[in-house]
Amino acid sequence: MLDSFNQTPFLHSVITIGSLLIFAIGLVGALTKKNLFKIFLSFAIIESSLFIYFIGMHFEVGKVAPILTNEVTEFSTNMVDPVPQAMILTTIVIAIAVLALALSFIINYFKLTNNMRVDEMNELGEDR
Amino acid sequence: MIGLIVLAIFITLIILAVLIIENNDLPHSVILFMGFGLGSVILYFIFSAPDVALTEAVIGTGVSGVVFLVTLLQIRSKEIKR
Amino acid sequence: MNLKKEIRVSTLFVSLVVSVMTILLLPIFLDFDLTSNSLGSTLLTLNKNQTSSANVVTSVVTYFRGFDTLGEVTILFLSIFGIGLGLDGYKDKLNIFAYENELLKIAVDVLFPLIILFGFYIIIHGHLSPGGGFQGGVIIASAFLLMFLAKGDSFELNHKIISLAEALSGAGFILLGVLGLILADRFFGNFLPLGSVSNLFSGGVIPLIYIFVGIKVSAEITALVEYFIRIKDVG
Repeated sequence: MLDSFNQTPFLHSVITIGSLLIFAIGLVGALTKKNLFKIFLSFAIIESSLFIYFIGMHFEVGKVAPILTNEVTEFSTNMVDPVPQAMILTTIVIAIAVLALALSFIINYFKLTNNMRVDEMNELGEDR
Repeated sequence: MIGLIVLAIFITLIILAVLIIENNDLPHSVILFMGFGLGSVILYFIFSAPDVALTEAVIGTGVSGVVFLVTLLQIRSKEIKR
Repeated sequence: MNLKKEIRVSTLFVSLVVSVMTILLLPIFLDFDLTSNSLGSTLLTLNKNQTSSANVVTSVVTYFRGFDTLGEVTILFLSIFGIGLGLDGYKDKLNIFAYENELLKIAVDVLFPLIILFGFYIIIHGHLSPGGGFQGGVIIASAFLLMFLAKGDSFELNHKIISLAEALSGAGFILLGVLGLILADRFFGNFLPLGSVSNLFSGGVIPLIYIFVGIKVSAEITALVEYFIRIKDVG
């Protein structure tokens, strides 16, 4: 019975449901929290869940990493697809760069108005 | 065997995500976020992707956590002075 | 002990909408079946015939899809440029990251060259083992971060050297691509002799591309962290 946990469709469904749940939790955090810092932390959680989904769906049980080692001595079709890994490697670096730019914006905004809450941002004069 | 390990790590990641967005103490949230990055590094290693695991370990845990913490230092220092 | 917690009505409403959306989307995602990966197997055979690198992901990032790496380097440069625009006069030396500790000051003098050596090792061996330019570049930047943490205001970076290193490595990266266009058949083509597999001096133009990318990434991440640490007080 324990052997049925090793098959590829079970692994794919676990990865799908888990990644979608983490995405939903991050989305709820980004929409309902009132502190600017926590909204950006939720965005980082959303991006991490998408990277896990992308790499996990291209994995099949029994395949090895696309690198020649002492045991794996030739390139064969027993290796995992290398193209999604190359794309995610670039995307992780881009995500941290964009996040750093956004955090510098909120530092500058805080130093000008001393305010970190979203529902007190009414410099453009919106009357309630 | 692999399926049960992946399931256990996913349950840990879901609990960590809920704790991150529900915490009132902001530096505590950043440290839990670094733990979340560690869990995803283990997942990348199980999925036979060593390059992505190395990149996520260095960037997602090292640079990202430090940038968040230094932002908190900038915000708090101004608040305490006034 | 009072464990009462207040929940706003709007929070409950938003969570309800997001959970309904997730439950409705789940059958579509669970029915998803991947098509056959013909691109991956084609690239594996191309890697065996045309290059002599042991790491397929490295040769995909630099040799087969080098144009995407050029776009990524551009986005990194633009974001650091945007951060630097928003801060004026950061030469007001107020390093808020320092942690005065005697043990840290003594240990950093030993650790700093070791971490930089380890970063260079990972950059150079990108085509033989997991690693490459991005990983090694960020490791070198974390060595400088350790110096900021330990030494406080007595550690000053020479900004002329950092911008010179970043500009020269970026120009060298594009120069390699243009040389490939002139001497070989395409942008980032190979014009150096291929060695044998699992030698250090093999792989043609792949280690050179990754060395330029590694130096550029390390210079940029060091400048990024230093911008965040030294911000002048406004007002």
